[in-house]
Amino acid sequence: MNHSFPFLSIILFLPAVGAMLILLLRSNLKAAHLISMVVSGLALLLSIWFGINDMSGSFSHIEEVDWIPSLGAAYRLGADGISYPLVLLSTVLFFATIVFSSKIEKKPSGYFALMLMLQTACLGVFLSLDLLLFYIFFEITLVGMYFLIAGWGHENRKKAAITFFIYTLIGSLVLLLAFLSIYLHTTPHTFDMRVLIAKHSLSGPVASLTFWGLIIAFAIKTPLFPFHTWLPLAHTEAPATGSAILAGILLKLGAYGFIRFALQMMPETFRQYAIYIIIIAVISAIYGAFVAMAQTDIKRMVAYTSINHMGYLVFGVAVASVAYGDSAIQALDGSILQMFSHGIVTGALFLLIGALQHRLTTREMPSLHGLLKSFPVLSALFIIASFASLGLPGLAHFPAEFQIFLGGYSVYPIAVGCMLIGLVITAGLYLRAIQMSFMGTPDELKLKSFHDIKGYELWSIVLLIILIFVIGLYPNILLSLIHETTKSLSL
Amino acid sequence: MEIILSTIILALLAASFLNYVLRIRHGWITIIASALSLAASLFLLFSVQQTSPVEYYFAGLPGQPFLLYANVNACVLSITVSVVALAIFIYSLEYMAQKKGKTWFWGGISLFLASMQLLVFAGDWLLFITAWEMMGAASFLLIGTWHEKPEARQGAVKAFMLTRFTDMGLYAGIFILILTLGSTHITANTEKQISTLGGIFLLIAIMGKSAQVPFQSWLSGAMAGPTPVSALLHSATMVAAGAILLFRIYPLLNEDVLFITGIVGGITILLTGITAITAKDVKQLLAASTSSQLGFMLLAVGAGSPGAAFAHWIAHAFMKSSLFLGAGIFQHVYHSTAFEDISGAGKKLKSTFTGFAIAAIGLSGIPPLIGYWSKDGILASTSQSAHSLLFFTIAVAGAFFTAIYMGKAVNRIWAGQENTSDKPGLRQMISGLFILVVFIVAGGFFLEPIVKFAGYEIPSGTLSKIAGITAAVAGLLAGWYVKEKWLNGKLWNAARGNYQVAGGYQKLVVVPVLKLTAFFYHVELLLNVFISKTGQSFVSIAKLLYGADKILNNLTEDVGSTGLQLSAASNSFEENGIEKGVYSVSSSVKESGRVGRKLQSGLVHKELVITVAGLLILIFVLISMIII
Repeated sequence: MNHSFPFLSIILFLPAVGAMLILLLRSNLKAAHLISMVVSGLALLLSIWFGINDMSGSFSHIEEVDWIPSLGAAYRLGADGISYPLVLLSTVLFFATIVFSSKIEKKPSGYFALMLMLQTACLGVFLSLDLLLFYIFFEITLVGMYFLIAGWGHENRKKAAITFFIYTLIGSLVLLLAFLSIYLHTTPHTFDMRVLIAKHSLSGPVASLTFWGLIIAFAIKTPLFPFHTWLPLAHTEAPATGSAILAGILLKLGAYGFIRFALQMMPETFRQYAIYIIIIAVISAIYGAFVAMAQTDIKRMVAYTSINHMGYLVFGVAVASVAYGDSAIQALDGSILQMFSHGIVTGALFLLIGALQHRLTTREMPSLHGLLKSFPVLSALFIIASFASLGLPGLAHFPAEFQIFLGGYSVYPIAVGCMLIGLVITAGLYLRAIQMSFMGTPDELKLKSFHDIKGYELWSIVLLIILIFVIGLYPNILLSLIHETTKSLSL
Repeated sequence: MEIILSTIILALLAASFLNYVLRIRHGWITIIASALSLAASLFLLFSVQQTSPVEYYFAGLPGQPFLLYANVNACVLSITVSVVALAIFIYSLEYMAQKKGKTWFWGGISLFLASMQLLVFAGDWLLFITAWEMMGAASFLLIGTWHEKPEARQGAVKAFMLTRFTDMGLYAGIFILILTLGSTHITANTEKQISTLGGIFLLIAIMGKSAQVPFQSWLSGAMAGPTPVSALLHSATMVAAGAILLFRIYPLLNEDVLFITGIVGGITILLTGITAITAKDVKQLLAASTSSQLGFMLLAVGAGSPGAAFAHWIAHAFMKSSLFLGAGIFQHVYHSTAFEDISGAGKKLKSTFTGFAIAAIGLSGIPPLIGYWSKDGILASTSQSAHSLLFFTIAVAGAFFTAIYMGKAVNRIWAGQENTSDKPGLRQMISGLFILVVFIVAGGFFLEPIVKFAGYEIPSGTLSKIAGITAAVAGLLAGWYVKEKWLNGKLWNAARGNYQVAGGYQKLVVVPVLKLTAFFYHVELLLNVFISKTGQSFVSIAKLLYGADKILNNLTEDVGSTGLQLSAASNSFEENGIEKGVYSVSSSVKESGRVGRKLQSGLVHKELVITVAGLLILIFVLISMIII
């Protein structure tokens, strides 16, 4: 295919164009929904097509246009096996959530325009090969998510939105400092991530400071213990689609940062401090599982399990920095796949909970009974997604977590042993939820309506569930792309 | 050949799909699928016998493809599974006809059987774990078929959680195994052995799945599911999967691990044997007996004879499923499984009783039934092992216990006045039972050649023959005449209740986990308070700065919304105090809501303008910072 054709830019800005279109036409719900579905569907098809035809181990399909030449900043786009799964995840998950949003009553045109803008921002983060460009897109996602929570959230949305904003803003400021430090210590000064990855130019105390700056910034975003307290609140108040995007994609910004910046740009420093990162990751994994177990609100419960899954992920990245050869590659493969798996599984769970909330008067599990009888299809999908989330083989999380643990076992067997406890606890909390709220005889007082899930809601979730099976049964479909890149990294 | 091999599993998966997704909830679909699967296994057996084993690589992880591996051994196991399952399915058609939960039952049981077949043919550890855990999930769904009943819900969760807990041993064991052997293939490189620790990890997984002491209690909870589920779960699948894992890893285990395996099996034989003797309910008796019989297989492997264990695996599958199907017919007629309620049932349901009694006598080890040959093999293997005195004593005692509880069960069902009750149509159920009974009666003559065919030896010896038959006859007689009142008292009750040491599963596992959960949640709340306090102190600093700023000039107003929000936050903190501070920095910020409302009020293009404007400012600040 012709490499001067700006393929990535088209994927990147297609949603933004859709957003403009919706605003210009002042569309009503139906039109805005249709336009958004078409645009994000197109972006999805393009990114699939791109993955099939145009991927190789290193950064492929690079687009470069001068922007501020005196600073060494440019509009640089490109994708490799680390970022491509996330690009695909973004297009899939935005498509699913947009399809799901057929019942937005409040300012539909604004909602869809915001979603599409957010999609462009997320894609921009993963496609950027320029620090400055990355940072700008990173900030836009923050602003977009703020408005999504503040505008379309539940009762306490304002409080949640502000907390989310302030918290992640602190992270971004630290990130900016770290980026500037990387920039200033590279000669000649450049924002080109490819050069920065190749050079590893930081050393000494500056490197340590910069590294910890990156770690704090990304630990807030991922989030890891003890920087996670914004997450449950944001999820509790965010609309279902907002939660799906927040957990599915925005958390991956942090995880992606761990790999792209901390691991790839400063591997020696990472190796030096890996043990601390591993301790934090293990604590996050176990802590997230136990605190999720303590929740009675089903949405908060799922929100806390994200901390658990992100703990596994960061553990895998840290293992990749210290282990050698196959183990390192295996752990990193697992971590990258974990980003995708967590995106689709948690995305599906949050959409399902959104559909539940629409039909119920409460989200408190102890007061819900027999949902399987009231909404059989919805409940069946929920059970599949929760089995996936607890790491059942054959479903999306297993191949990722298995590789992380197998890679990690050769270097930190005890840490892996501790995290296996996390697996048991997550199994326990999901089964408890199923036993308490889904099985048994229904309690009709708590139901607002008796309609099982159907139409747009159903098919958007079914898409994700099918993907959960595909990744679980045939992980190589993504892993081969990921592996192509990870094995060429000098780990 | 790959197609035939895949058919065995895919046919069943397709049946599950039709039931679950397309809602065609008819038993015949599952029956046709499992018949197809059986035909494929038979065909495969004849072709692998003539040529080499079939290997089929597909999908998987980078450098570690999934592998389906079919040799004679796997085919024999697969055929046993299929035959038992097919008989149970024929039985189930009638059993489930009047009952609720058909989608759950037929869909679940097809998935369950598919995972078992996958496990049998799994050629690499990744696929093995996949099949193993899929079976656990399917068993959860099956036990929960009648989830309106609380005991079904609890039984399902307990079964899944206990096995999931022990499965962590499988994970850790397999990590060690792969790192030791450098390969994920199950059949790879049998010269190396894994470390004792690795062996123990795998043993824990086996103990969980095969319901060995101290993980035996999930089996009795699993009784809350439909009888055909119990029949399948307790015979050729689920518990049998643990034994298959043991066959697969046997060459890799060192002497120490084998000894521990034998000891675990031995303890289970004796303890659950006593539980079975004390049981007042036929299904609970059979559940305890399953643990005990699986214990025999562990004991045989521990004694160094996987052949004897393999023989008992096959024999037990037929006998235990027959016993359950028989018990299920009594339950179907009398709506109870307690011995009190079904006493005398044998006189009325003569053909069912005959089938039940043949299976019971077979399990006790009376020739020429199939159970005699396999039990004799186990007794002989223990008498020839390195720890012959210990293992042989346990095995003979275990055989004696087996005969006692089987004798007791037969006696309780036969003796006593029959209750008058309607006799519904049972023809299909009884025919399902008798398919299996045929194998019990005739199978004894084929067992040894089949085991040899699968690549194993069954040991034999004169001493074991005499001891075995004596124990069986004495036990049956003792069981027939044992009185219920002899079995009362503290120790007997403890045995009946599955040895709930210090409160059992509930007190030992659930309570500590919940305590830990409460502890972590407490930490979480403290963390939130800490962060909200930190936030508040920042807010007060901001307020101070804001005051200073205002005196100098009104610059802050131009800086943008952040300053406004912070100052607003500080005001409202003063108004409301800090009592609401548990959740977040801005939990009590009413003023910020006003700012937020202002920002997102009106049409969205305004919001976008603000977003873009904010961005421009940001870029400006960035560039100016860098240039300066």
